[in-house]
Amino acid sequence: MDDGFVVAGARTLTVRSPMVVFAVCDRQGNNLHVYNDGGENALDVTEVGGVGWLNQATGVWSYRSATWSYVNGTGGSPAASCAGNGADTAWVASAFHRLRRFNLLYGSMPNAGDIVMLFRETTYKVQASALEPGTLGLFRGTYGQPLVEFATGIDSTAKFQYRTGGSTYTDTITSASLGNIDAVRIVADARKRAESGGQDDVTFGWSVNVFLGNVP
Amino acid sequence: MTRKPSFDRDRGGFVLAVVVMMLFAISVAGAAGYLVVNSEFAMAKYADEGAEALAVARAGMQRFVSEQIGVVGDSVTYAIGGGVAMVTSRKMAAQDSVTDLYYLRAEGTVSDVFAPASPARRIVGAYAWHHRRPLRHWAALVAASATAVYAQNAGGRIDGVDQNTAADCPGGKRHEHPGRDRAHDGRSAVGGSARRQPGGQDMARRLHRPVRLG
Repeated sequence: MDDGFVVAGARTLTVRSPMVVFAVCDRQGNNLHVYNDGGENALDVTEVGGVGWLNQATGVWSYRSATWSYVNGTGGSPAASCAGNGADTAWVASAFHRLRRFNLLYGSMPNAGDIVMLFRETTYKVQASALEPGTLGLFRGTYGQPLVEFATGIDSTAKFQYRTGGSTYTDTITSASLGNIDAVRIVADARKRAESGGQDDVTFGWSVNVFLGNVP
Repeated sequence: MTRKPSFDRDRGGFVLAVVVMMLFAISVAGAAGYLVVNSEFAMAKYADEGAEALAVARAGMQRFVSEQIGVVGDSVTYAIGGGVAMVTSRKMAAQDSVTDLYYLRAEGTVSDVFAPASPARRIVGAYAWHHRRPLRHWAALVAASATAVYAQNAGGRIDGVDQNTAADCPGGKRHEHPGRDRAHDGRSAVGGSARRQPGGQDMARRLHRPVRLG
């Protein structure tokens, strides 16, 4: 899946997903003005992991990691500026917003009519459990936020696997092949320590293949 | 004389009480089962209606785009399947003289007869370029705006000058109606009667307002 995977490892999986796509309606210096249906309240700004800029000639997105506070612009009159460029702002003036620092992220600024994106990055990681030391846990976190353990008792055999066509799943994928991943296998193995007097730990688990339907 | 055993009196109605209790338990179990099934049915139905609302919204968006010719409508409502799609367009920017950027928003709703006040609702949005084709003025005269008329022939001219002669309009020079406007040197006069005049006078009067040529 093109651009969807950021990290594809056996114990770490980071995926990128679009939050909102903007069309730039005006640029004032190093500030962009965009329209966001529903306004900022419709956006979970804590999940913003970066921005994207579409090359409309080639259809290729360029991504940069950034938090919302980094790209969130204040001041100015976004609605009035966009209205000056032909935008219909009646009743939705508060839905126009200012973004900034694209010049620092990209070295240049998008212009009116360019397409930009806010995306989130979600990381899933199998690592040492904080809740039950000595075992593994599955953690989840968004960009810039601490990982939170939400599954404990993970077995060391638990992992992520990836398929890039064909029928073979592998544990790791090179960065050059991230765009070719068309299926992810989640091997969710768990381990329960033996009860007092028991001989062996109890292990159980399952695996599921997630096929990515929008892969060309 | 026969005497009934005393334990019969003590056990009188015992079975009936047990049966009533069993019936009550069965009723409770049945009601509980009904509630579980009903709630699951409702959840499945709401999920299905949500999916249908999304399909309606997408269908409305595609229909709006495919039917878009000419002026972009402000809002359009389509009845699609079992739902309604309301598509609104909002102009975001004017890219150039013939190209505008629009934000299209399609809201699909599917009503439930049991909860009409809270229909399933899904919204999809998209940006779209609207390209206007430049007007080719094939006609002899084309009104391009409220203040401009384009002539197919570059040498065409409309200036209000009466090109007719007295031969074209024998009665044009006679003042049969005092007070009525006249055509002096071929130029029209403002005011006078609105009554239609034959020939060149009428033409001059109708063209009393200069028309700008493109």
